[in-house]
Amino acid sequence: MKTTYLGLFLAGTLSLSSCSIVGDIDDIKPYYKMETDNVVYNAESAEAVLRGVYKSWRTFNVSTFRPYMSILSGISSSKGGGLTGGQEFVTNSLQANNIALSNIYQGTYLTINTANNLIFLMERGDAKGMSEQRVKEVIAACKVHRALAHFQILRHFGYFFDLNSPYGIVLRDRPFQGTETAARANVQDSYTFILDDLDYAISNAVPSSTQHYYVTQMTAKALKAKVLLHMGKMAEAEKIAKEVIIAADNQGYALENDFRTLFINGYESKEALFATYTNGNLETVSDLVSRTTYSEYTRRLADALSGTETDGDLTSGQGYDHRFWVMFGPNTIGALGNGKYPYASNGPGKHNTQMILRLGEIYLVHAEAAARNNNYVAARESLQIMASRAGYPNNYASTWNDNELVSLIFKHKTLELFSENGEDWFDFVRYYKAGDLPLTEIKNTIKTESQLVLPIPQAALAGNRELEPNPL
Amino acid sequence: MYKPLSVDQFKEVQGRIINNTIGAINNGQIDPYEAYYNQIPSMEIFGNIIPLEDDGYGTPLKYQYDGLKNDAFYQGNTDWTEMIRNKNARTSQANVTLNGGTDNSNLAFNFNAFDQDGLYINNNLKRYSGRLSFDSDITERLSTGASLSYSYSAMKHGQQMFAEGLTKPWLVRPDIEPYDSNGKFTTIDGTSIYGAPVALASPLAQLNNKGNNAMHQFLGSAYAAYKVFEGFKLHGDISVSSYNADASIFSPTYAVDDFSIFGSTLYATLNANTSKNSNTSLNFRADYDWKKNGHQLYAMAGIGFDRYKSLGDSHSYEEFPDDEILIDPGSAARINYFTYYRADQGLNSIYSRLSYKFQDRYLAEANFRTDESSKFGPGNKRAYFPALSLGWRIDKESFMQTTDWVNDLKLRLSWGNTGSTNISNFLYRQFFVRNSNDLWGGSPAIVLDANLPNRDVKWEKTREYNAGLDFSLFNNRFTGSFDVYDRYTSGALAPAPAPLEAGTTQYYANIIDMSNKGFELELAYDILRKQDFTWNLGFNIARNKNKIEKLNGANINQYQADSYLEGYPAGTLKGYIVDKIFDSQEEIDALNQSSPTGYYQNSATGIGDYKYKDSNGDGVININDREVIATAQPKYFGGIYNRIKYKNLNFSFVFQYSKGAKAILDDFQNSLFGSMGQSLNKDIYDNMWSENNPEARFAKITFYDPAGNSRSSDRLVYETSFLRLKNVNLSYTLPKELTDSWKIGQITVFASGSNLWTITKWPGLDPEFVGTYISTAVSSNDAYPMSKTYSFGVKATF
Repeated sequence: MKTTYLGLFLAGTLSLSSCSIVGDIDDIKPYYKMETDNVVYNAESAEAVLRGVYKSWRTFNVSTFRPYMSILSGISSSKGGGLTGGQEFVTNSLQANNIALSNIYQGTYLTINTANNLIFLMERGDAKGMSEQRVKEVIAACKVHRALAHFQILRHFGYFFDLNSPYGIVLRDRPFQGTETAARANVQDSYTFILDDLDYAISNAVPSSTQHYYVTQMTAKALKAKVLLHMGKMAEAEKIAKEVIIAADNQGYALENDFRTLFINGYESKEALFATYTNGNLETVSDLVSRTTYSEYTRRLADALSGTETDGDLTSGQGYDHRFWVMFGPNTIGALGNGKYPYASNGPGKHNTQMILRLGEIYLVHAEAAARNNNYVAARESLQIMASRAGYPNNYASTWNDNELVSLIFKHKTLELFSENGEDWFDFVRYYKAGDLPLTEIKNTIKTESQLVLPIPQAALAGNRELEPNPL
Repeated sequence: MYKPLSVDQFKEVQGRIINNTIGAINNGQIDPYEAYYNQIPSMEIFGNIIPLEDDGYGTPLKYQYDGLKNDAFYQGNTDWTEMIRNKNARTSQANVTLNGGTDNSNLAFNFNAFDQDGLYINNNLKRYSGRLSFDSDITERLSTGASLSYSYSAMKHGQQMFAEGLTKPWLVRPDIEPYDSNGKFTTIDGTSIYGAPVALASPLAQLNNKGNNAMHQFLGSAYAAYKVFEGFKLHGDISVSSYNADASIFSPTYAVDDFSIFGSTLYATLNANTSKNSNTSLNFRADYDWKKNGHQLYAMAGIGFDRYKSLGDSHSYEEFPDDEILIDPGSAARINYFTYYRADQGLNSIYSRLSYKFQDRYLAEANFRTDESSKFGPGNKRAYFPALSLGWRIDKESFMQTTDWVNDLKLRLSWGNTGSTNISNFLYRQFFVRNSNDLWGGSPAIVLDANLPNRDVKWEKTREYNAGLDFSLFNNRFTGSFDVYDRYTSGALAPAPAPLEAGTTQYYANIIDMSNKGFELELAYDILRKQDFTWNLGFNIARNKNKIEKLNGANINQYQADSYLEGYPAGTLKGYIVDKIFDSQEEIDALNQSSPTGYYQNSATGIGDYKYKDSNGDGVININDREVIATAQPKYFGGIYNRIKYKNLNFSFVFQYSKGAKAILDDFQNSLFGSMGQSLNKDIYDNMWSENNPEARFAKITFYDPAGNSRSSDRLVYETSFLRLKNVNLSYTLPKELTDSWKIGQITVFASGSNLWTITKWPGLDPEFVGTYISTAVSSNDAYPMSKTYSFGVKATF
């Protein structure tokens, strides 16, 4: 019997101690991951999360598909043709399950959700030891990103051109806890939300930064001018754009003297209001710009603006708009097939930036708003500055009639911003809605107004029952 | 294996694509301004294209195709699938087993060596393994045992998967020679896809990547059992396993695609990763047996602990001074990215069983277990799984005693519950993480983890009813079993649609409630049963009906969630139904006229393109017109088995079959995309639309498919049904007198073959190899074909 007890004793001890060997199930913890409760605990940790908000602009989803909108407008051509999901952009027959759509939608909302997380933590006071002013600056930076991202989604997927439309976008002002969803706000409310964020940032963001890959009050204000232009609030747009132009100098922003230098300087350019930092092997950005080129429409535009319609010589640049020649002339075109992207796409050193907002655009925003407000002097002044840099004569703007200015500004803006953010597409839609352009002006595969708005991605509809698709 | 096109067929295809595309431009279906930059430059590489009309500013509006350019083609005649195939891949295997022991203990030792060449060149796997085990009764009450095993495997390979598009071996143009005049690998010009002379590595060059995988695997286990008194036993066991793997692949500059034309420098790269995993499992249980007067009782209770730990890293290096020797991480100029992970998970269990038997006639068993998993959040970690089963040996009843043709007849009934935790750890928490490229301005950034947390994620549970009948008749000559079951899984864990506004698509939830109902029938019959000659024939058939009963998730728009559809099996493919191939421009014009968007399909639709069915009748074709066109669920499947023994000769063979599942072949979509400079899938070539073949299965092929003929449609769907001779085995045991005289126990020589013969209508590489996951089960990208193997060997025991 003795061995029986010994055996029982041994078994009992073993099974009890095994609990302590393997431990309680609750003792199993994740490794090397932070959570909402500890990710921000002091000033430096808050800055690290803020850098994460910035970094979201470099993710595959938002950066890769930037050239696509210009294919939609017909300003760019697809070169070769193997662009993922690109054929439907070429033929303006986008289906809701096009992979590019869900990537843009998802990637842009990632910026918003990341910013919302940080805003929440800053407002909760997690950044111990950070000055009250810096806390506000961090929140303001997050709000600039949130505004920019919401604005991008509104322009791509909403009826941004119609303030009375119910087809705005889903607005997010707090971090996702799970799958809580929301319906689309109307267009007016979408704009109001964006402007509220920008107004907070104009009051609270850092006034300037020597590093142009960080956003400032000036970035917020410039973006506000652009948003107002999209809303059709031309008086305000003109006023704010002018304020940006006047204040720029004191805050370390200025137009580059030379168009090409702007892109060689890239994110270090004083003209950049916000551009992505790209360097070395780790801070790279994926871009399909080398798979696109100009279209015949753009070539003719560039030819017609300078000299006659048929005198262009791409080798010498004679007879072509200077900016077009910088991009596609044989000496500056570069390996990526676009002079705005002068750097190699891999290896060490500086790479091509993505110019998300720059001062040059604000001059043209001002010019257009002023022209639409019948302030032709102001409009000519801003247009002339941009035209002069592009090599046009000093009296260039004054050689055009008042009633030609609005359409002339469209042409200059197209060439100025070509292959940066697809601005030409949004301008085309705005100009068409304002009655300044016929629907078939650029591309003959655009036949109906429903082609002017991208379909809400199927993947977004699948995960959010409240989300309403755009009408046919 | 696919049959590639000949050089002439390849050339003909290039001409057809150019002809169709120019036709579409001339008819206004392709914007001439678009074509001028997009299609024309690529087509001009291959064909003589003469501009006809001009818009007055120098852009041609119409063209004429004037035959292929001779100098666009090379002089080769290469079958790339043959070039990369290892014609007679050899496998050799050796096995040594030693067994021994005394009355109280047993010892066994086993050693195995395995050496296998792959189906493609530069591919080899070697594996060595050994196992040692012993059992011993230390005292009358105490017995213990342990086993240790270790295996090491090393794999060398050129490349793990086929590249897409232009460099899929059977789609590479056959007119290119594999080597240039200097004996170097030729490259494939990618201009037609990339719009610039990108130099793509050929399939042959790609297989010259230097891949090395090594894996070390250790398994150890030990147990002790102690008899406390008669019928009552304590049992404890522990097992530890660990798997450590190193894998690296070096891509020399001649085996990677050269994009330097786009300003990126061509560098050799090295990708290396390691992983270490261990699994520890500890169990204690007590058993109690009791018997009296035909009553038999068994009770068991136990606890178990499982712990799984893993960690690993990966590194990608770039630019090496050399392609052959200085290819180690230390020789790299830079690191491209790096990752590291470490994770633990655990499961604690309590289990018990009570079973009762009366006179070996009536059987009842109750099981109860509860598990606690680390994967779920507070309140969701634990789950309970009861089960109950009943058995009736009918043949033991007195009323059966007279029916002597029944040897065995048993009825089984059961009800049970099981669970699954098949997801990653901690998906219920929102994490913030950092990866190597999470930087801004050179300083580290913290980002949101891609997983959207699901606070409520919990055990997937399955309830099952089962009824079965086992029988053995006519002196055990005819045996079989029949089972029917009804399973209901609540909250099956799967990737689920998430609000895209969260900025991610990675979300796991207990999304699906589904049922599985089916039967399995197994029959075997001894056709011959003589002293020296026996023949046993077996047959089985099974049918399972899987159905998604309900999707869980208040926010999901079920109509838009393509992978899961209520009322359908899990794994469905939605796609367009092809009404026909358009044969009249008037019909297209009329449809465009009545469409709310100006186009029925799109601007490029013309004669020879598919007419998709307008399922919802709104006059326009878009994704809402898609219907379910394939499901991965077979109607029935099973096997046929034959075992024949004549004297010392054994012969057996197995057929497998499956009927009724459907899938789409991705390769066809690839070919219908109409890339220039790429060969075509032979099935498409044989059956594509042309004016002379208006009744074709496949639409006309236009450069870059502007009309959308390559969309998922029912024309690309095929049954994956098959009947396959899976295994044939022939062996002969040398006469005992002979081996005895050699003082050897037994010598057997054998020959066997597998996958020797298949009937299928599936046009892809292998009907058995269509994807296995829910999302991929209905499409196939033909990753790797199944091999036909033949083996011969000798087995000796001493």
